[in-house]
Amino acid sequence: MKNLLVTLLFLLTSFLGFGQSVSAPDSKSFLPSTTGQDASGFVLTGFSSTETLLASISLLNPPSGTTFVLNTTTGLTAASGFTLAGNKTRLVVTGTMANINTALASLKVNTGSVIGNVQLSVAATVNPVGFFYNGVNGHFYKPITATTDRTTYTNARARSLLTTFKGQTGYLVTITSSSEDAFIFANVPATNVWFAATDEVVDGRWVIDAGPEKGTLMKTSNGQLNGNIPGVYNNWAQGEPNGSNGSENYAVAKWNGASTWNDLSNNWNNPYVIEYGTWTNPDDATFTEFYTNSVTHTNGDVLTARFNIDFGSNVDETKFTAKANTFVNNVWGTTTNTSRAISGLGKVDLTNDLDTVKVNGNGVRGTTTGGQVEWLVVYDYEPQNQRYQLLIDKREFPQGISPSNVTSLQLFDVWNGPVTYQWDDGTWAAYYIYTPTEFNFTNSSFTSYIRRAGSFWGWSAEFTFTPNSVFKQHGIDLSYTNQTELNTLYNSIVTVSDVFLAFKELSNGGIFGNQSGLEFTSGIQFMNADVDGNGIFNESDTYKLLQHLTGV
Amino acid sequence: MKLYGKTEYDAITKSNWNTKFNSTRSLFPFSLNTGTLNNTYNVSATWVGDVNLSHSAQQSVSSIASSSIRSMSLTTNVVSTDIQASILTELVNGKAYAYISLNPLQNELVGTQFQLNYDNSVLKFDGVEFKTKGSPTNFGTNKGTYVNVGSLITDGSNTLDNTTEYRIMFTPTKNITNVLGLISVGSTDAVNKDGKQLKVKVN
Repeated sequence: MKNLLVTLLFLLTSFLGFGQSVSAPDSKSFLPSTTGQDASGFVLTGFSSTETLLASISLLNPPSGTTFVLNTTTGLTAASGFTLAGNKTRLVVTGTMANINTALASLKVNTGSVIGNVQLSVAATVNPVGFFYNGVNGHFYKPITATTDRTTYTNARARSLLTTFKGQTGYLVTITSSSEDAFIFANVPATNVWFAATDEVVDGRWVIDAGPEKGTLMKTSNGQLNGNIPGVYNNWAQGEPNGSNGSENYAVAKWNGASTWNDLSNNWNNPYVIEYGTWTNPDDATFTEFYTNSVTHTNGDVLTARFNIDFGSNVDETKFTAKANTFVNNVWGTTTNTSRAISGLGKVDLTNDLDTVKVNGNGVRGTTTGGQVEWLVVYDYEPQNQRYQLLIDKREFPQGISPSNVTSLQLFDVWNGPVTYQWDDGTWAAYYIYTPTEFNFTNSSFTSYIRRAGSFWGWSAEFTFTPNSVFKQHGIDLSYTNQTELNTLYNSIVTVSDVFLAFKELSNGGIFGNQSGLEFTSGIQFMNADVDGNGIFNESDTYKLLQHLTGV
Repeated sequence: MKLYGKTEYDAITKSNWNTKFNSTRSLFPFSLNTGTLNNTYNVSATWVGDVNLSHSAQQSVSSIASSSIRSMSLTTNVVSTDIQASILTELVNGKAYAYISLNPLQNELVGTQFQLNYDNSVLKFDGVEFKTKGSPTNFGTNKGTYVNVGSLITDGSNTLDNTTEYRIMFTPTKNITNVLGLISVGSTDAVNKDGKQLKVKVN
């Protein structure tokens, strides 16, 4: 019986596709101007082992000179417009889960001299037949090219809106960048392809006609370059659009097989493309059965601060903005006073608003570079204590630096964090590094400086010790669109059901202070019901809630 | 609004909440640790007064446990959690009126609330007349662009029935011939005797 249940559960979870995900590695800091740095750690799980998957690997706005490469691509096929070999900022492939995971394990990053964030994103889904995935914006595109399906522009526009794919309503494709144009050109096996641009309202006044950019003005007069709006993508053929006969009000891409556009009248029966997805960042994709994850490494020492704020399901995150603050002389103050929008997923990035000027802290920090002499010995990992013991030759400590004051060490690219002083004698200074995971010597870029010898590792490392400095205390401060709207929002948050629940809890046992009644199931409820914030939920709080409700 | 680190938020319980209460802040402090360059912070938001947690982050552990249980359960006797309400507006003798009436259906209704939006460039709020049985706490508060109107029986000793009616009165400040488009229902709320939030279907 038990086996039967297990089998049924397995079949059920397999059928429903539970547990599919993409996991991402921890962030790391790359060395500038270095090729072949390990960026493995992305893993696909939970997919059927026999299905063909679509996977996208992307570098999002990387510093100039940063690329990635897959050293192993066995069993993979590059999507149209991509090749497997070579350094890239974007690659879309198809293959089995095992083949893709093998390739991801061989992922390497090449950095240039420009420091900055290196955001790697991996997305995966079961490869949908008849659709093409654009790794730049994270949208799917479905070309409609069969002769019997070709139709007028207005039909194409209307039919697109009647379709859905992976939970997204379709729309006639918009072409808003040269890369998207190139994507359409490469993936749609047809010419004269309708896309969502029209001047049907005012001749020569071309606007985007669908999707999230609907209504955006593209150009104000006919002619290849006439009236083109700066910053808005246009790619018309020479002499086009020309509004010929006064009826050419609709745009086609791949005009006569070329990479440029033309305007045509609505009586043409043309192929078209349906686009799915309204976001600009692939990480914001909300496709169903589409799994994505990302990690932001850095090239060089770039300090970042990113937030995932969970507002619950009934609050519109995009109504909030965030500012970075620092706490100086017992007062909070903004750093750059820049308001950052919060995404629909509750994400906001304050990296560019951080105050990176450090102030004096406690202790000493040691950093290392490759050298000629083994000044450092690291003994084998002690799994029972989850630690390493290491010895630093005391000749590396300059005058005025006491070994006992050392609180953190950066040991090549193997360890960067706190250490615990143990002892020092005339020759060595001993420390512990507590870590639940063993050092990854194999993937270090400094293996030539690390020698295995018996039960220890000898490191040819030169030390530099400097007094510890620390960053100022920071804070993220949220604001709402405006105070009136915030008041309205709050009045829709604290309503009659909240007030009644508080009264019910109080009457069921909470009336004597902190005793738990029968209604609240969570400590958060007590916390929120404690309106006066004195640590006690009592009749004073319910009275205040009632006052709020009745406006008295 | 109150912001907490997710780990701290998830660890708040019925026995330790009063050590976490003093966090009435929309400013969440965070530390940039020396030696850690990539800092990602997971933050949970909640609100003072959001007793039923309708607009707050869910705690991870409890939500996972309860949803997995619910997904496996079978319900054979579904009790509606809806109540019905209707709104009628009229212009009589130069005064504008909105009537909200209720039908709790089979629910034991102890609280209702309506945000009745009105165009304050045309209408001036005069007051609310309540037709309710028992002795509920009735409220009708002008918020400038809407009226917060409803009833609450705080001890749950009685219930609101289908004779409940609110008459909201306005005086037009301009010449108007009808009130179409000038009055509408915004957000609503209702609660039954068990403290369960009910959906209000407005006809």
